[in-house]
Amino acid sequence: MESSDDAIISKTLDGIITSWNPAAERLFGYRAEEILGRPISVLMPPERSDDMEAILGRIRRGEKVDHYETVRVSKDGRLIPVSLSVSPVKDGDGRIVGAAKIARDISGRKFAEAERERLLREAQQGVQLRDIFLSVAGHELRTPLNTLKLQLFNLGRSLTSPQQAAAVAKAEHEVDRLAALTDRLLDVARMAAGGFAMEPAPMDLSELAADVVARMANDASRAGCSIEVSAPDPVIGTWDRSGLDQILTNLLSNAIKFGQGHPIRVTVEGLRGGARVRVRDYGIGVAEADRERIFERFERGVSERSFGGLGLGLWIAQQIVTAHGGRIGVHAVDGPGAEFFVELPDRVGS
Amino acid sequence: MQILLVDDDSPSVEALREMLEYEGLHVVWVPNGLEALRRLREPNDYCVILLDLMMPVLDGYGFREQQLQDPALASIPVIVITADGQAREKAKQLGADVFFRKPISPPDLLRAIRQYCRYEPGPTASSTPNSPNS
Repeated sequence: MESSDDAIISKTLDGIITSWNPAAERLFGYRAEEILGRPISVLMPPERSDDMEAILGRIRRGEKVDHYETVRVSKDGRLIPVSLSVSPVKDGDGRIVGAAKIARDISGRKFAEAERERLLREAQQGVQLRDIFLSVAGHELRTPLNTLKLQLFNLGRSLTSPQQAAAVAKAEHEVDRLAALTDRLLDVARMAAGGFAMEPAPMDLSELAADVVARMANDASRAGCSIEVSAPDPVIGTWDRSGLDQILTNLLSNAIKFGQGHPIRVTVEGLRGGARVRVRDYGIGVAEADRERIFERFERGVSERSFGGLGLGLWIAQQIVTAHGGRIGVHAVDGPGAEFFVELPDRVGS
Repeated sequence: MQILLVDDDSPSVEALREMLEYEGLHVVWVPNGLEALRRLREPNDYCVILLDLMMPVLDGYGFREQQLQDPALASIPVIVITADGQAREKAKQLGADVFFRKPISPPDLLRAIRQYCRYEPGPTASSTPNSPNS
């Protein structure tokens, strides 16, 4: 008892203190001679005054009280969170005559718990704010872009010279680029925070490929590239359509950008247990050393000056493919250019 | 033949209105779904509704739900114009005939409107339909 780190206190059934060890002296600040004979209520803060009956009541019935967490007050008025274990003390005839209490200072643990709760609350608020930001940001950024594009169109109609019309057309194109870049930034923000939500549903990959190619036809012809699609049969699977749309759009957009005006070929194939899409261009190609690096965030195969963009498209594509349980990469080809491939299991996560 | 434009963003509305009126279309604008329903219950000849989705008071989804419940209003075609990334899915959920994602392509929008509204096309219709910036 003398060498214990826990405060050990004995009291009568009326709560009068009958023993007090050195640890109790350290914990509560009272020397033994100034507290022996005084009521245990000296240690209780007013709001805990029912503790005494709660504990002593059970002791009188012969019950033990364990891990009772409460608060006591020291000699200098500090409140100390404690955990109590109280046992009945019996005399030689087995009658309960008092209680022996072990009090452990748990202020360290209480502090850590409070800190953890505070941090958790802050993190939850942060996540909520981020989610609100992401859902609002996309809308807020695209709305003025829309107005800008409409006003450019209105302006273009009142101009007469071909140079002026061409300038307006270029400005409209830049607005489209801004919109696409905004989307990518928001995607990255969402994905980096682990918030990419997929909605897999049965769909036809061949049909999607044809859709995306049709949508990019204008961009392709402006760059002098023709796109050929080889997807003769439906390729059905359970995938997130808008995710796959993004991947194909990105691969095609790269093929057009780096294709140097040569043809592009898109192939969709069913595999056993899955599917594969390949996008082949005949342009500047990807050096072997770069084949993995280009999928990292903000990495690009070429200098910023010659080809605009944020260097995020392939990283985003990889996040989406990984979420589907698939693979994406680029492999060596005979001749110039590169072939990017995406392999998917026939359902997400299988 | 009138167009009902439902959108709470005034710069968007102003630009769109100018574009449509130049084509000879008559535009009635309301800032939210509730006002749109009020207008639709007055005598009108709207050939199409251009519907934004994110609006206060009553948004595009709320408006569409009520429009479809009223047989007098349900058959008026709706073109959804939204900044939302899931524009295609949202439009399908709403049963909208056509959707455009902001920033929209003006020639494409005009072509879509002409499917529902019989009017004398203005000067823009004479330019090539697949101009490079469409």
